[in-house]
Amino acid sequence: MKMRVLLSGFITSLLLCGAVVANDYISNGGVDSLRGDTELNTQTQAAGLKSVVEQDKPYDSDYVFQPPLIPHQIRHYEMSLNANKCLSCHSWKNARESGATKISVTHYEARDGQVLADVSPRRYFCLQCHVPQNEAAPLIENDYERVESLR
Amino acid sequence: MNEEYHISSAVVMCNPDRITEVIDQISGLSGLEVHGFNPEGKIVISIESEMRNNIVNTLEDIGKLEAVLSSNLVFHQFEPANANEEVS
Amino acid sequence: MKWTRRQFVKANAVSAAATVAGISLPASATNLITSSEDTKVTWDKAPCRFCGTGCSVLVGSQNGKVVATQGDPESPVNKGLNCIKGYFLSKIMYGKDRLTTPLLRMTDGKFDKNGEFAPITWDQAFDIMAEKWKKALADKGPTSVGMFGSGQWTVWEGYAAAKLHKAGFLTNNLDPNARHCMASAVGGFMRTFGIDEPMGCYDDLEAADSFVLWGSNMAEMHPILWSRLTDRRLSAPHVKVHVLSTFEHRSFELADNGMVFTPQTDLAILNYIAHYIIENDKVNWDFVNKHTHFKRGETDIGYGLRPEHPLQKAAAHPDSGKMTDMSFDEYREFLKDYNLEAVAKLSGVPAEKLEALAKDYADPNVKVTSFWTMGFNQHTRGVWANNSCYNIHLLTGKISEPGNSPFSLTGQPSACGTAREVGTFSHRLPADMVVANPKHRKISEDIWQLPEGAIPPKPGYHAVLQNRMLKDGKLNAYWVMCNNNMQAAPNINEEGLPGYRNPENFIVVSDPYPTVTAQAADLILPTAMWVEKEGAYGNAERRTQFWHQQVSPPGEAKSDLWQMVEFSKRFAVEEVWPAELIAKKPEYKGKTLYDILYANGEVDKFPVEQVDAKLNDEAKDFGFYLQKGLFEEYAKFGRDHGHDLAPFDTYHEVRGLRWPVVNGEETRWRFREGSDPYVKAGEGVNFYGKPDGKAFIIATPFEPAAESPDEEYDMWLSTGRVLEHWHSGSMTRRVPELYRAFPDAVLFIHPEDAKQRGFKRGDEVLIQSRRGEVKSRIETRGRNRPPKGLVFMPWFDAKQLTNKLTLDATDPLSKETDFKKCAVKLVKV
Repeated sequence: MKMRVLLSGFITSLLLCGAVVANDYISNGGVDSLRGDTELNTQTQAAGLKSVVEQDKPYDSDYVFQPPLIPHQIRHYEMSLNANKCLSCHSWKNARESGATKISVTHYEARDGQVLADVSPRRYFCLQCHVPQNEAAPLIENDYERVESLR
Repeated sequence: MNEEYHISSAVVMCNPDRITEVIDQISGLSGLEVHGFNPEGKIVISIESEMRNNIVNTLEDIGKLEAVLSSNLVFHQFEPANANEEVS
Repeated sequence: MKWTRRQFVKANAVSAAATVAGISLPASATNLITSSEDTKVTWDKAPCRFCGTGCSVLVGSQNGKVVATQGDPESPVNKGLNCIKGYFLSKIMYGKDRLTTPLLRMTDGKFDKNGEFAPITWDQAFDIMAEKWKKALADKGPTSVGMFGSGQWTVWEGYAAAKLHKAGFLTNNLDPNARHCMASAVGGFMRTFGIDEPMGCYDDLEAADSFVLWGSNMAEMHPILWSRLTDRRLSAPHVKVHVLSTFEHRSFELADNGMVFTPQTDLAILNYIAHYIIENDKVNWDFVNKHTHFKRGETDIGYGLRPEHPLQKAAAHPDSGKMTDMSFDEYREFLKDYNLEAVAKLSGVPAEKLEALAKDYADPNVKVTSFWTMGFNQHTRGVWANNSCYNIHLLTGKISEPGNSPFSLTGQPSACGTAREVGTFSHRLPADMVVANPKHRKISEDIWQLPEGAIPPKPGYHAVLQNRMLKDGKLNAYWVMCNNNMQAAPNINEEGLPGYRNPENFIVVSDPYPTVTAQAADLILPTAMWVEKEGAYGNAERRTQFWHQQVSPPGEAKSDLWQMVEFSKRFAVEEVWPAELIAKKPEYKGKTLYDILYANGEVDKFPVEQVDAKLNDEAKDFGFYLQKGLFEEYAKFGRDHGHDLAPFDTYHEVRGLRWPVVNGEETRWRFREGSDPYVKAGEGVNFYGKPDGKAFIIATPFEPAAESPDEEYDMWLSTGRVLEHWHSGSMTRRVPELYRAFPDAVLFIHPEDAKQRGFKRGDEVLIQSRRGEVKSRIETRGRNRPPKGLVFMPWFDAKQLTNKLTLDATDPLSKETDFKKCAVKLVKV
């Protein structure tokens, strides 16, 4: 009986030993990824939810073809077959009154190049290209440089 | 009133045999410049205007020309009217 | 000259239009653009780096850096549009932590599995790699070396990898991350049609009357195709959109008929539709009689788990893809179980919604296009789901014509063009051929100038098996390239991590950035990306698109292609091939793998002078137009065999062409007379992938998921992507605007499920499965709205490794993991 206990203790410690050895090799070797230097078999606290930046003025663009970012909260904005909340301020019809940024004239072109009287249906879902920004410092600095003349 | 300045470029496709005729016709349009063309009937133009509607109207006018097959807006940007200051 | 901002904008506008039109501007106009070297932006085309849609973009570069990108108005795919990721392509290469030199784990200047990473030269990197590869080959043979590649490789990178392994190291242990993504689609095509890839094309989007999204969330995952679908729906009011998913997402915003079903019951819904078509006498008999056979698929086939797993032991026919003949009456009888009442109950979808869906499929006057991606493919019965969807289109003859299209979308930019077509799967050779078929091996050996018997007949280790074999110490020298598999593969804790860190193994990771996978490597190689090299991708509609190298990579970073070809120089054939094989081709004596695979008279036959671009680092380094040579040798496999590609140079001129390209003409609808040159006059339709030209309608039943919620692990976990991030986020999360748009992963949950467990929005939550645990934050609102009993978590966040939770159960036929279904519980932190 005692023998069995001893033996099973021995096996357990062997197994533990094995686990320790394997774990020994788990090391990021000093390289940081987007998870920082946290080892792959552990985890730090999950980052808290961040809030959307609300500001009066539009974001600067880095290059001329960049779709404008959304400088405000869009919670509860209805987007469906029947309603598009974004257009209620940003369409040409409504922008003068609302003071919102007007939609670019490119949005009035159909897929075949025809110029339409209203926003092209292929541009209907605004959030495919335009997104709000959360209060967050970049994870990694980006060395992209905008063109000198646009600064 | 003129708080904006619109700049756009487009590619006009026309019947290659009538390209000179088309260039003549569109060159007269207000704010429009022809920058180049090729034998396949493609013409590169820019349109500038203080009114965004002028750009749409100009493109529509071009589209109505008989020899024109299509006109494709490539680029459009509007600038505050004071952006005409020197940058470099 | 002084420039105004206005002049600058105008110069750019004109330059972009000229690029679109393919016009070189005359001097008078270019004065405007080139008068100041500082302001000169050079524009060229490239396909987008991200999803399988294959949008074309115009890339502006200046002083050796990309400064702007825009949608390409000339491209038939996207006509000037991009999604938010595409618009920010200009920044993906400039994360501050780009890798610029090889890094090896070392202690006291020597390799040590437990050491710290330190910079070394490429020469030193290839030295240690060659040593490890040669030792593994000598000790255990070719099955102990392998590579995990990518559907994001360029066409020639995939082809070079296939040659390096199948023709060089004589191992089939090469698999792409497309295994996680498209393998079930491939399995589906091969079983039903005997030839891979969609018969339709994106033109279906402007022609269909009804769209059905099977598990696909196109609004986020294929945004530009979604914009075309939206265009169609809003322009033509009769068009209907049906959306099926296990939770509500953005695609439901456009849905006329949105359906949330219980996970795995899509199999039953598919069979119900076939049942409805038959019972309502809507079978297109002319089509069915001429072009199809009925087959019964083997059932109870297991779950692709390790053989000792109880579920695997319990299976009656593990891994069996066997099919037997079946009559129509037997098929009808088989479908009786899938009546409306039974399927509505099983799936949880209201009967009237299922019926509305079935009616559109059945109505001969409604053109139906079905779309699917990971919902069907990442499924333990993924091949069956693909087959069952084809059944519906075949029963009604709604296939291979404009608007009638069962359309398998792809996730990666070249899952089709590279991973599937050039033979990077562990069981495949180029052009749909397989290693197990002696005739296919013979054809490949001939084109590759190999002695007979060189290519091993046994399939190699597939993705999930590679991780298991690493853990078991059977795969010892391993190269991971162009993917982030430590974050992407299932069951990290039990398979991936112990496998990579097994002291018996040497792991090499090539990547532009230090990823999670790089952190688990022994050697990290800095890699050139996207327009830092010449490339070619093939998208989901068979469109092959090329781009030129437009800027130089940073530091010592080199393309994947350069890395593989350069590495091949390190092996004398005598060190790799058995003597009896060399004896069959004595002229190879004393040669290196480089001589045999790449400098072989074919791949090196195009001179550098043919490069029509300012930059081509590989051509410069190797002294010949490497990309062209690889492409033209590869194209031999498909020309005259249904996979015809145009001449290399053509692709640099055009916005892509859809293969087969015969006599300069691309093919829009395959298998259809008048559109597909392989279908002869009078045939109408010919499914020529099968010997008698007939496709299979295959009967397979509903079978349960590998793991379902129970009392302890009481919720389904589904994983996936978000619009703003591409896969593991290694590129998009380094773009500040994209990072701030969706900063961290969250757990989407039904508000009542959260409340019942004592959570409110924003609370930290510990998600546990039988395999591991991950901390995240509770999200009860936003774009995804799961039903009660299911949670959704994206996997892009390197800090929240979702795949510690997932189970490495696969479709037993395709070997693709089911990332959409496992059981978890939620615990307070």
